[in-house]
Amino acid sequence: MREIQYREAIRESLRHEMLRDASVFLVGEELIDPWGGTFGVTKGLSTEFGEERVRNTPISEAAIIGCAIGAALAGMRPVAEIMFLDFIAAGMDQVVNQAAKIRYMSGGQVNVPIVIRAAGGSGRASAAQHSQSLEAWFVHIPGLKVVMPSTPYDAKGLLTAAIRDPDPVLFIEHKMMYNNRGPVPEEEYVIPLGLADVKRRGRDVTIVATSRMVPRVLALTDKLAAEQGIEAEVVDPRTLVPLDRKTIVESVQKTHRLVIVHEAVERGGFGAEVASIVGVEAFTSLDAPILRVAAANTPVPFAPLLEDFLVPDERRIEEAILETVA
Amino acid sequence: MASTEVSDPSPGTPTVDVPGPDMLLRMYETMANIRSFEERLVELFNSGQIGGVLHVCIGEEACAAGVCANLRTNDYLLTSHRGHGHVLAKGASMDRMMAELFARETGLCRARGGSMHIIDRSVGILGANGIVAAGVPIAAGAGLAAQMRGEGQVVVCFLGDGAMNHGAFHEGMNLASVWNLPIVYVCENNLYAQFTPQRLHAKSEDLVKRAVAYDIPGIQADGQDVLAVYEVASRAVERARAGGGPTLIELKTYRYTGHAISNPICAIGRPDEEVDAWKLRDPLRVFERYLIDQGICSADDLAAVRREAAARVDTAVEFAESSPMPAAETALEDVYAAWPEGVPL
Amino acid sequence: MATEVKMPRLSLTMESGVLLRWLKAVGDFVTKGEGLAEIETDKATAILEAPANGFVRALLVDEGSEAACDAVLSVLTPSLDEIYEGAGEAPASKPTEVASTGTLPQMPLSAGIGAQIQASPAAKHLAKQLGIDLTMVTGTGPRGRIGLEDVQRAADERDESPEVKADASPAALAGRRVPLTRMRAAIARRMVESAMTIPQFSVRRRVDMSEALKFLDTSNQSVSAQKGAHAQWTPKPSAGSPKPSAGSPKPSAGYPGAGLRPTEGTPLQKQTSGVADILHFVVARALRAHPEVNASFEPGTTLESSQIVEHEAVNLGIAVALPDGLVVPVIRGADKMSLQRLTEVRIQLQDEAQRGRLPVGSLGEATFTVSNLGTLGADDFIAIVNPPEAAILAVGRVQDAVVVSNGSFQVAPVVVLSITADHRVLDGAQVAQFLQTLSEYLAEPEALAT
Repeated sequence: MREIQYREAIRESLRHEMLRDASVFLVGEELIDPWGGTFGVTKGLSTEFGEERVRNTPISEAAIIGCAIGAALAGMRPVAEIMFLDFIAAGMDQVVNQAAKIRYMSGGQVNVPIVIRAAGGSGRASAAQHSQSLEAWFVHIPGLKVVMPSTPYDAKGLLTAAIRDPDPVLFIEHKMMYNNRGPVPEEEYVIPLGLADVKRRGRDVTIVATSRMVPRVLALTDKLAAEQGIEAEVVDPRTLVPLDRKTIVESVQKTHRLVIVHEAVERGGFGAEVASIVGVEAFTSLDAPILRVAAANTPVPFAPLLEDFLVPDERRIEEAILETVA
Repeated sequence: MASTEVSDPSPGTPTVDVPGPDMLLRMYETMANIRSFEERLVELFNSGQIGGVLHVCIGEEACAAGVCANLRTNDYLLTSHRGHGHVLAKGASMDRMMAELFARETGLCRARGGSMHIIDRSVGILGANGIVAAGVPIAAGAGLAAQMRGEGQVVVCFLGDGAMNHGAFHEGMNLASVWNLPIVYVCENNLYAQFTPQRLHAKSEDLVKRAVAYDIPGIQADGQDVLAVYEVASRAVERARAGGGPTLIELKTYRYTGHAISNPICAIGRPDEEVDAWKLRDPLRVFERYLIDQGICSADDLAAVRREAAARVDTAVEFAESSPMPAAETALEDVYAAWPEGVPL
Repeated sequence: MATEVKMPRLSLTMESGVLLRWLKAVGDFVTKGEGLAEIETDKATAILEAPANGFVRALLVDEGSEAACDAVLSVLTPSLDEIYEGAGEAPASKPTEVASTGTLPQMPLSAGIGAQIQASPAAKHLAKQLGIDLTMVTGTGPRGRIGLEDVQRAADERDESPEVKADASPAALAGRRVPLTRMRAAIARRMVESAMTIPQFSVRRRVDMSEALKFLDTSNQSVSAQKGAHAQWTPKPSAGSPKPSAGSPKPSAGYPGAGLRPTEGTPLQKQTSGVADILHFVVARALRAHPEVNASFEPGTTLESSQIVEHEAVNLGIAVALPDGLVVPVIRGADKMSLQRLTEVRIQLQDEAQRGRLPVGSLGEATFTVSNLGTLGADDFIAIVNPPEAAILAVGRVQDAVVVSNGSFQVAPVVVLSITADHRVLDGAQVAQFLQTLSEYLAEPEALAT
């Protein structure tokens, strides 16, 4: 199967959906050619579909998201792009008080079929206001769905599902993965939301990881298997809300151990949610405490050396795995 | 009928005809309905039969009636927390609105939304909003959809003087103006934002001047004169429908009550004489005088309309009171339109 | 507010005890200090006393069954009106530890709540299913935690052992087979541990007891004179017992001083001080003067990181022989007690030990032990150090012997004192000096009398 980049996979999904459904359009900053978005995801789309369907907005996150909501209420299927996930804070009222709640407040009369795509994560010396992983905020708001793809294959299928989903979806990409290549089918396909992916099978420990941590964990687990005979099972939830609890719980029931790895800050992070669920649903299967490997409870610093210190690296993940299997 | 225009860059705007008797009577009926409905809510609230956070618009009826008389069913409406009048004027069922306020299963929003979040999709009401100015960018989105669809739909977005200071107002107006969206933004300036008089929250008395910043037409009018409102709204709606882009209308109006239904009328520095002076220009009284003077209706006709309005409200209350409460478990429904089977919420 | 009565942990190695017999029933009122149950610990049979006044609302453990240390055995409430619902939690059901690691040095591991028996939930679950007693399983996980593997191993071993016995019996010698009692097993375990881990050596000294015996006579006469012809046993409220507190009572870790308690059925007896008492008197004060002997070896993660702890209190363990074993009740703060007091306490403890009614608070936390076989005729002997103490004194019998004094032969009562010491803590010279001090004190006991 041909290999394409994570960004290309996302672009393919957008393109397929725009071809398929005239109500799908894109709205965000710098989306049109020649830039095609800050990370080049939408390159070529404005040329193909015109600037009516690929719309450049002013720098107005509340307006971008509000506009998407209004258009969705009026029957369209917008895909809004927030340039850096951190900026979504400027439009949080529209995400949290409007998009998430309008369906419920209307007693089910209307729904808000928007997708908000945003690039999160650190690794580019972008410092504190351009490097956060904020998925926990949205996991906590009923009415929102949250997706974090870790591979090009997952990204294309999940975005297609998200665009076709009738509810507001936060589609959180990772800015450091846009160049990652992977096998992706050429045709359109859907990966249903709410389905985790076991990216590596094993017996000794379950590792639940998201986004950029997935490839980091996979590289490490192969090494652990070869050098220490530890066979880890790596579960990528892919969708955080709705969460595929069943796959995670069954995995822990098999391995008896769980390590959760995410790039977001540890405190109040999504890992705590998973740990709590497993702590209840797989309690008698646990042979060791559940460990989280996450970023330190600090803002992200500018210097790459400092940034690397805070974010889970191979060493810390390995330490956690070894401690769990001890 | 006074209307002060600040700027009107589109040449050749047609003069608005005075509406015919049917339309005039319908507008009066709308105002009477709103007045009866809102006054009854105050009684119901004070006697503890309804609760929650409500904001009534007694004194502002002409704004809702005059603007919405220009709208079609498939035009979109967004409004603020003080939206009962607009929503009724747009055609929402009074029975089901009352049931919503009584927290019944038959309410427009199945008792999920309450006063500040009334939505009625069937008549294009995309929602009242509990967050000040949040509707402004959402209206831009609805306007965008209308523009893309190209069927001549128009969006009306009501907001208050307080909302004009919110960041979302600026972002939404800017987007609407730069994309030339078919939206009529109607600012009901009732001189107070919550308890703060307008002179303390904005430097200029004429908020309509902000239209200049977006290079769109801004029109100011007397919000207690329903015909003035009708006229300015008409022009703005036609402009939008014809692809002429957004307009900002500022209506000077007044509410006789406090900010929320339970608040007393007092506000920072609001003199008692002020209320009385405005009551002399009560929108229903003003319009009644006009209708009678012009020979369009008699005083008795108008009294009958008011009686019918009261009766309609009675029916709505009966409907609400006799409606069932929602089953508690329904609180878990409709968070999402689609959710996987067997997965807990 | 309910008071939980828990199985006490009397030593670092004690993991469980057996509830032999309930002394009270549900609905009975008990006063603080009153006996609630007879329990068997690794040291002795003892009385578990009520930690507070209250009504017994539940007896959570059956007679004869084992309970882990800190397991709730019973619940008391101040009144019967107070609602008490159901049994307390079994010790095994503590929530899973959720700790964070793989984090940076400046973020400490979040402390988990942890189970009382350190075993993972999966291990406990499996143990329950297989009928494995977790107190018998050795944990190989971090900090000794019992994991699935450990339980599985224990199950495998249990399943294997019947075959081993079958093989052994034909070759075994005929004879009466006596199963080990808990006490025997405990003694065996402790002595093996002592012998295997502690480098021990002994130093002996013959000591002239003339002056000591004279001092005893004088002391006994004055006691008789004070109290009349028959020494009375006067029950006193325990002066050293903890004050009643409004809140939850602290778990009984022992009374600050082994106070006198009213004990039923105690015959009037003469509180005559004997050799044992004068020795206790002198040893306690010598320990005060030699803090290096009143010490323990505290192992660290490596030998180099270990420490020697010189104890503040002088708690003298006195070995008491029992029909089926040996128990060592403790006289706390012995250095502060008079000879009379030491005598009273010794007599009481010996009495309670013989009747199996030692209060739980009188066991454990000794800093030095005195073992006396003189009364049974032994000339001298070498005792084994009682861990975690650094030394033990073995006393033989006082017997007349020929001594050289001022160049001429004399007959004097002489006793051999042997001290066995932990060479990690003490050297020969120090032990010899201690014995020197003892000898000096015994030569002039009235100088010590407080």
